[in-house]
Amino acid sequence: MMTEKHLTIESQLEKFPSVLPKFIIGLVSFVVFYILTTITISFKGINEKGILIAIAAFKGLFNPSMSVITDLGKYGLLQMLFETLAIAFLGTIIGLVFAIPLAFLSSRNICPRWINTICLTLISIIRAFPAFMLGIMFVKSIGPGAFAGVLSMAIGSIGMLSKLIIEVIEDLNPGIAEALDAAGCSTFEKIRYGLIPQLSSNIISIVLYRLDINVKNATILGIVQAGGIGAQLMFAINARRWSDTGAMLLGIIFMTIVLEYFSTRIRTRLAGQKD
Amino acid sequence: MIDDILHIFFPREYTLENGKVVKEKFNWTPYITIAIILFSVFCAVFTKVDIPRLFQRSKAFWALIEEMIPPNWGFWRDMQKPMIDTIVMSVLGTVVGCLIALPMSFYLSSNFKLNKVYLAGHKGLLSLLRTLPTLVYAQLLSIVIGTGTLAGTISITIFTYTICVKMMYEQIETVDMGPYEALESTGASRVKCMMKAIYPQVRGFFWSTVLYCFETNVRSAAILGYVGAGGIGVQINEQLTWRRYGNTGLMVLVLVITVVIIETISRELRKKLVQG
Amino acid sequence: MIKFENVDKVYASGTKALNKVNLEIEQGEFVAIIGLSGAGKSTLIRTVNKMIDITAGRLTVNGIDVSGLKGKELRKFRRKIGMVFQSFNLVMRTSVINNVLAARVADMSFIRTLLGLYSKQDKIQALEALDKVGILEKAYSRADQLSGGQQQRVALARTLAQNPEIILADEPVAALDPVMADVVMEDFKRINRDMNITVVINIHHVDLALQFADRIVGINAGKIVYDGPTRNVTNETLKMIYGRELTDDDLMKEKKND
Repeated sequence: MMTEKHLTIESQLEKFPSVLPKFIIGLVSFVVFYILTTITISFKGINEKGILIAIAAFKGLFNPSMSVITDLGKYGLLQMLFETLAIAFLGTIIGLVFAIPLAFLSSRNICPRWINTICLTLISIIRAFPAFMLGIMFVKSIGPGAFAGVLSMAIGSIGMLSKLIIEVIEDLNPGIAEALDAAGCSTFEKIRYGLIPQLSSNIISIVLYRLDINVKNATILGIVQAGGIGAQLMFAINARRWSDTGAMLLGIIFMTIVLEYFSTRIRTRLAGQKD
Repeated sequence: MIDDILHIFFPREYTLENGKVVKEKFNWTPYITIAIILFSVFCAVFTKVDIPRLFQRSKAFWALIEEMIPPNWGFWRDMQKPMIDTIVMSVLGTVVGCLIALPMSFYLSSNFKLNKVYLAGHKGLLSLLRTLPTLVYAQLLSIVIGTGTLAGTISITIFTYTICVKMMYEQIETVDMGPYEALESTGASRVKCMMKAIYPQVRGFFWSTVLYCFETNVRSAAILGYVGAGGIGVQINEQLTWRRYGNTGLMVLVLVITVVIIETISRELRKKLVQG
Repeated sequence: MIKFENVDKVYASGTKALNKVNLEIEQGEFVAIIGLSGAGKSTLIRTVNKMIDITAGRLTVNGIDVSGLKGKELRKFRRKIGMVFQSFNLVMRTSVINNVLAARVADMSFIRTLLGLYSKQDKIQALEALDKVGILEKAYSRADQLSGGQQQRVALARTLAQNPEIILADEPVAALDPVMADVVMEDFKRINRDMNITVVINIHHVDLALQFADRIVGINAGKIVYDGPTRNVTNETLKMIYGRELTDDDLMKEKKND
């Protein structure tokens, strides 16, 4: 208390944090930033052709090709979009099938520590592995097409799905399992009546969230010949068929937004139920 | 047995002793489950899922991995530059995108009673742009402004902007407007009120968003080279075409390590930011 | 001098919050505005610095017509009027000194504000303000680590840091416990006396109003029903202002004779 009484405005003023460190950090990051820019970014300038292309592209995007939209064949918009959706959907479901046991094995409140560690390491390796590399590897081994896309999407989803499911499992209320234990339930019954009711709404939310992401990712699988709308989209852009491009981009935007809308609605409803 | 199965789909009615009829609540779960299974099967047929083929060819998959191991360490010298390019593209795109997003998110959040029609339009446009992956921007841009790292960086910037601005304006809409009112009463202009009353409340969230965007961008930047937008993707594409799997192995390894390092650092920093 | 002449305020919803208000407050007065919640106390106080605009009549502060002020002029006008809020309205995630310094940004250039470059003069002024409310030692603590009473004193210091001629306080002690409420009211009183700053305070608790204010303005349904020195306030006056007997809710402390 004594020292506090001796506080003066002057002594407090001296303690005012200096802006110098912040200033130096700012300056250094700016210089680093500038150097990075100069070594990496090479800009040759937009030539006139570029501007013309941009104008043509812009016009094309707003005049989507009706023939692509109405074509019901293999390279029609509808089939391509559905293939994209199918890859994302199946990938998510298969990913979930693998993620659930992996998540249980990784949860501290379910399994012993050493099993957790092994599974968590596995999950983080899968997570860090670049998704498009998986696509390439499946295309190389089982051949190009949507199946390769499904497989890479499935494995690519395992990481995030299991990580989020672990969080849910570790938040579980242990009281319910104990009560069922006391009632003499078997392990299966404990899972059926103790775990599933607690987990299902959370897991559905997580799956819907990942499905949203996967639909977006599935649109670019085509670049490595792993199915979906991507390949045709890239061809169209490269060939500068702008109105075809426009039709496909519109299709992607429409599909993503509709899905996002429903998944957000379902997720908010599920979140509301819990409370 | 049959009765039990039917029970799952059709709720039963019970007549109690006092004559009251109790009806079970209708449950959608079994119908939805069946619908999901049927849809999955349909999707599987559509995407030509072929499990026997997967097992037949799984050897080829493992063989591919075996060829990548051990990685060809000698390739490190050739892959340095594109790898650094990839990271720099992500850094630049993230920083520029987020720095544009920060002031715009203030402008777009509904707390400040700015022009509603404009806000709805801008937000709508943003959610349209957000649906397109970075790769699509990269390809469009590499045609318009030429291939190279600039196209990649700009596409990362656009993507980051659309994500960051949304996360930020949603956060700003939840802040306590009390300090803003207090500063307004001292005669500070609207922009100054935002800087001194609102920004300190969302500062931690903003930097954590920047880190989150950076993580996402490093992952997605690796593929941009496929459409000529610079970075390691160009090399991966080339080495794979020439079937130099040892070189590919090294690049994948470096990518995995980079992502793990960045994620670990970013996770720790974000934990601190949320607390502080 | 604050001067209301036949001031009306009708909200867009149709609620008439102020009805033909006539009021004159001289420089250096300590005025408490009392009344039921919803009587228009808060509206009355917020019209003074045009946080709320009046719909009819004339309101002048030191001769300036308030409802005519806009943009830069309004902001310049507000610099001389401090405001203290029931919920303190501090930025909880930053230090006390930063909260107080925020009152100085109105006078600063954009660049200085952006970079947080406060002049030595500003810093001294902020620390002096903290000293005046007795929490100089808390200058570098985070605002959310302080008690409610200390937070309200930070808010008061923030107001002092802008060198106000008038302080408007909207239920400043409603969120505090009785002991802290007393301390904060003492601060208001001291500032009013030592610095000749006009204090206009909205207060729900009659006992505190009677204890600290020099003058009481009673307001009921947007109308001023009593205006006079504190010593002339009787039980009858209070009944008229509140339209009912006083209850324990209207007092900060338990009745002494209980």
